Amino acid sequence: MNLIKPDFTYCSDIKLIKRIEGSSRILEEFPDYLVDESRLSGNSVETIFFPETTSDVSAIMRDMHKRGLRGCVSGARTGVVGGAVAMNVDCVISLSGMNEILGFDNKSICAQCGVTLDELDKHISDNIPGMFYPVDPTETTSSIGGNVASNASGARTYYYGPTRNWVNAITVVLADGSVLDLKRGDVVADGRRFRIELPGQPETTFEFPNHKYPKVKNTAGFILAENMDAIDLFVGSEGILGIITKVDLRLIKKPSNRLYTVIWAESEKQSVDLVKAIRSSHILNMLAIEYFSPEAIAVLKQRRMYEGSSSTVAKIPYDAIAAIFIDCVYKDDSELSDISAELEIILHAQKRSLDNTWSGMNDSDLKRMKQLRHALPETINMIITERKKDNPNIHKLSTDFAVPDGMLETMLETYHKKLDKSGIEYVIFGHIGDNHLHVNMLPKTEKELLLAHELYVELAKDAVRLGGTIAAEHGIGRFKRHLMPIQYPPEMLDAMLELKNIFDPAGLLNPGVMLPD
Amino acid sequence: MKIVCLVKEVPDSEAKITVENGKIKETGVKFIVNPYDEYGIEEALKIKEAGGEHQVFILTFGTERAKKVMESAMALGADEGFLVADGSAPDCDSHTTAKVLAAALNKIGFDMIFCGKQAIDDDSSQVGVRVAEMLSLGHASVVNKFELTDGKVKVERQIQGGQEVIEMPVPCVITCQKGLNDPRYPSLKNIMAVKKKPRTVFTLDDIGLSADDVGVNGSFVEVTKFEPPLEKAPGRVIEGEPEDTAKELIRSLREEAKVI
Repeated sequence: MNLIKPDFTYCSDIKLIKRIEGSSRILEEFPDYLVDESRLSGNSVETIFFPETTSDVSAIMRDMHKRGLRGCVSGARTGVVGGAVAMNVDCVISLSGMNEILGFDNKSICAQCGVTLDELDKHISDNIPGMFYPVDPTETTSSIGGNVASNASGARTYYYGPTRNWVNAITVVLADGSVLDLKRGDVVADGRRFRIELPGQPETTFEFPNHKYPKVKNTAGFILAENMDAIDLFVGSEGILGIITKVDLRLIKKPSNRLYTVIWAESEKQSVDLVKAIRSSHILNMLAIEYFSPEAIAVLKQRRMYEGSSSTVAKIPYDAIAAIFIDCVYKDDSELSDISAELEIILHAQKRSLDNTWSGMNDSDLKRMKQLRHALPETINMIITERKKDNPNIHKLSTDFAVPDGMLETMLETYHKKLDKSGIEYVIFGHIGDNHLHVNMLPKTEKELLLAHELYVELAKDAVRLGGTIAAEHGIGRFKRHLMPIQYPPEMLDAMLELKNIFDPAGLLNPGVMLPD
Repeated sequence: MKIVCLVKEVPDSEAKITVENGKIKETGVKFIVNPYDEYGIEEALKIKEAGGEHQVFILTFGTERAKKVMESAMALGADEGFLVADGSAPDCDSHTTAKVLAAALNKIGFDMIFCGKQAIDDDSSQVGVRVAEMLSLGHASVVNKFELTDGKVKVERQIQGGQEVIEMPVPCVITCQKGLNDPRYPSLKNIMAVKKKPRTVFTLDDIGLSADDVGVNGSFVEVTKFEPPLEKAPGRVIEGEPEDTAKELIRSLREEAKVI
């Protein structure tokens, strides 16, 4: 079946829904609800709603629809592209109170959208022994609704894929307040065509062009594919088609034996060669491959030197210039021996040895290694905070581009060539296994800041030219929609806009998010 | 020199500890080398790496399960591992644990002994010092600086208002404090090399002890039950004019919290 047909099954009394009213009071007492981690500044709003159920959200949207009010959909506000910033809206719909686990069995869990990843993990480990939800975005205080709406990913996406792969079912409240329950497999496109019947409206058809998406993880816009599931219109839709209120997620068996290893490399080239060898090995079963560039290692060494042995940054070997972190699964001791032997061969080919590694098998080992990774953005933010003292406009710019296999080295070369020429300080790190590296630009002056913004667009074009994406995991939000035409031809952008107009013709949900004007 | 590092198996500092029927529930909990013991191992390895004829041994007392932790400790670069394995280990108090370790030390021989200043599970801070007393050795605890020259150790420990400097001959027992050094991470090479290194498992009989010496029989202290810490009640903000809030604060501290 290819018919998407929401209805008005349940709806609360709008008067009974918790809220805070008054734009000056909100600005004064609840400014946090107007912004997210992007640090974009928002405007105040007349009302912040705190729904507790799908019926509440339905009532809110019905009321807003009647009055033509625009709303900002707000989860845990951990996004970095301004998706939850109250900008040009009349109210904020905060889903933070929708934090109940609704049910579970031994292979799935159903939760309200406001449940955080931490709460989800805790519930699973307390109640469903041996199972886990494998997607691991860095921000564990993010809400699961936000994760689904932004198709979030993490280090382990290398192995398990992004959030999309783990969504069994969702409940969505649309702009008119109608409710749509979607189970994976129930509504599937007929080729590139969906039929949509909104309550009280004639049936419409949504047909989309054939488009070759980059062969990388990608959160730029809608992913419209032949015979796609209707769920996937909403996963990654950044709240512009509807409000996801309930999600049902697939769980899998937690791998019991894990080997965590940091490999210290002598150069970037060596790191890339190591990654290539690791990826093509049939013996190594990697959940994640992460990278620390020479600039990143230098920043960490500097902080360690400055803070001494009380630093949260471990003492990095003096001959380490760059590093790779790998998270590997093994069945038993014999498989562990095979992994070690394979890594030895791979390292030997690069004139390195197993001596140039840190390894561990326990959660506390992982925590120690993760500290290195966490210390990096932390240190970068410290540097920027220092610079802000001289010029409050200064901020870092973080890229989120990914390129297809085989293009990693070209992209790295481009980064270095253009960034070195600009003179702007930068640090590169991230998900090298997915050819997805974050470049953090750290401008010192207003002039450099301007240049960094220009360079950002230029590098986005380079990534797309190499067959990559402008937004591998952070999404588009309000921050990057000007980059969308770089990645998509006009007919694709038109199709995305048409989809938005079918579900939300008045533009009430998250105006200014994802789609360019 | 035979340098022996005493190591205790403790729950992973990242593990979630739950108590059931007055006992700690161990399913799903991973066990690690007591982090303070790692400072001792690091110091021993530094002596070895500085040159000379030295060997670093790991000695632990626990159930059969502790073999894994002994191997983890060896993976830092030790030469040989010893485990005194006995089911009574969880019921042993500090005195009995020290008795077992001292007996094992006599069996394997030693020129220098390191251990952590305390274990992160029971925080008793006694075993290292008791071992030294039982073997009639000099000892210094909570050490944050260590030097060894010509068979003499010079250590420093933080005391109120300054550093205490102690010199003594080897063999002696040093219990190690954070800041003494930077414990290394095991390399994958050393983790794999453990399987090729000598590892000995002793029974009580092997070290000249019997069931009467250990567990509940040999201990002065018996743990009767565990209780999880009370959940902290949420804080309360007292609002109003300073005069009233001060009165309300005193009243709550006296009548509700009953601390004054």
